[in-house]
Amino acid sequence: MTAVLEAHGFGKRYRRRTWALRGVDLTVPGGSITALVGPNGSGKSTLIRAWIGFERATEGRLSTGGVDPQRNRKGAVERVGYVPQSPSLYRDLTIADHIVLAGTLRAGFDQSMAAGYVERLSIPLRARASELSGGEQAQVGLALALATRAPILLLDEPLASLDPLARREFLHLMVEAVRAAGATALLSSHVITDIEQACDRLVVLGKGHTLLDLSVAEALAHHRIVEGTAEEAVAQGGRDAFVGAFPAPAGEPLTLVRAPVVTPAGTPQLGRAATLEEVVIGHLAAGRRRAIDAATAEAAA
Amino acid sequence: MTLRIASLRIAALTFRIQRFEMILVLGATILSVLVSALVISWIRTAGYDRCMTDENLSLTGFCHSAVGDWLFRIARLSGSIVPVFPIVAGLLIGGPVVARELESGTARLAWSLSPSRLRWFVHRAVPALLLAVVAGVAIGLTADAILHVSEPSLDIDQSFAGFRQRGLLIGVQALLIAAIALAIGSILGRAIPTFVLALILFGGIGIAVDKVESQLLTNEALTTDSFQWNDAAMFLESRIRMPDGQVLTWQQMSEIHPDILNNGYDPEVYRDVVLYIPGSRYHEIEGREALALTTIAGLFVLVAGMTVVRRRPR
Repeated sequence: MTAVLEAHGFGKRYRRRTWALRGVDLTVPGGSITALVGPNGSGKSTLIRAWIGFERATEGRLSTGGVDPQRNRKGAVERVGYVPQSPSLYRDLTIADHIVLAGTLRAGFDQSMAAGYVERLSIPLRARASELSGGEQAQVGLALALATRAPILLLDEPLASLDPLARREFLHLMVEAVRAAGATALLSSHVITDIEQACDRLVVLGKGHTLLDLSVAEALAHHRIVEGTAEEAVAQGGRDAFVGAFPAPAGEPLTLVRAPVVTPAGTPQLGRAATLEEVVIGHLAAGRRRAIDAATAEAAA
Repeated sequence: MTLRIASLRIAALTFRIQRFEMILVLGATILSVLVSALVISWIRTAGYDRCMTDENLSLTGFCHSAVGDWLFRIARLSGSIVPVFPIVAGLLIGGPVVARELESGTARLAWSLSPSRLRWFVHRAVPALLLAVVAGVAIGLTADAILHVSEPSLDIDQSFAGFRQRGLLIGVQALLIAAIALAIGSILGRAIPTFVLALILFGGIGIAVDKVESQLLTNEALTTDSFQWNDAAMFLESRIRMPDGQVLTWQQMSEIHPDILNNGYDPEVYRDVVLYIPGSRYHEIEGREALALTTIAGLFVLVAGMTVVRRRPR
């Protein structure tokens, strides 16, 4: 599959000091729905905003549907439907006004499609944005982004303000529209259970680096959970298999390990199957440990 | 036709996005124009305007009646808002156009929808700037009418009375401050600091323009030693004409010939002269200043457009 979103050695530094992202290499294949997961401050929003041309790279390069968003922002925006982190609708305008406004701003914007999505979500077109809940505003944002008919959809944590039902409706609409149009979507989120149902790829970003970039099926198949400490897991599976250790909700230690690609017949598998949430948390724990080790080494040097 | 409908839609949406400020400015303009028109018409119909020209009538009880007094008082009050109006209207209309969009995050939505930010900027800024100009010109023309009724003997087209506080220049001043606020708002991305900074900058530009204009006018001024004080001409300064025909300022006199100033001088030898601009040049000077201010406003709009194209949304 052709990559529609690419980052090669991408780095972004703010105010000449803090690196939000550094050395990010990432490709999002066309036709996929990719989840971008990471803790707060990991640079998810920065990366998404850079792909639409809202941020300039400090180093490295990006590609959005084959164009460099820094050199050709117009081209990048034309290829992207964007749903920002916080709803950004005009408080005093009705939803119908937003649809008209989008129609005046963007050639090819499908006003009837946008109105259809909004009505399907039971949001009145005559309602002002200020009268809608945060979840409804996010849904209107999605309807506007979908009606651009852009081949790439960038969704920057749109689920954060949604209740579980609204979240489900949002994802359902997004998946249906993306699949029907053969588009590509990149969704950044903290809510891993929803991602598992909606996305087919998973990218984990931690402290400015890519920690994991696999299909959801591969991520589940290639990892196991050992219910014990890191030392116990290393003793059982070897140091190379170890990914990261973290506590279960009740406090008992869990360790994420890599599962061998091929297991000889009759050999018992290590630990138990990992959930997607455990895969993500394990890699985030590993990323954090690497960052601490790097900082310690730097301080010692 | 389609383009016209689209432009009207955009103008209507711009109006609704900035509903509060637009209603405030439009409301104040319409109210001021209506009240002034009513008062002027009443003054004329009742004949109170003759009190200003007819010396015999001005001493009568008719001219000192409470009604006449109040009508002129209202007219003066309406005229007194003129110097403040372009500043307030320009700030209110121009400041929020980009600043509030950045502040509230709506720029993210708009800029992600519009491949051309310049197009978005033109859609948002042009109706706002037009409104500032139209409201300012309406107020300026109202001020013209008030001046005319207050001083019927004055030919307002040939007089510097109320210069910069009436006519076309009010509209241009509103345009200038709206453009300054637009540019600062697009740089700062916050409404309140934009208002403050735009006000300071407008003051600075006003002083600079005044200095340049004064210098130009001084160079172009007529010199006379028989100046009759009147409302039509613009008095610039008085100087001294030396016996050799050289015209010196008081400052130059005190530096070059302190003895003459200290010991007193014969006014027949050292003539006091006045530099002035005749009232007949009113529209020419007004037009020149309007052109200069419009050019400066255009530069600020350019800065705003370039900033919008280059900056990142919040």
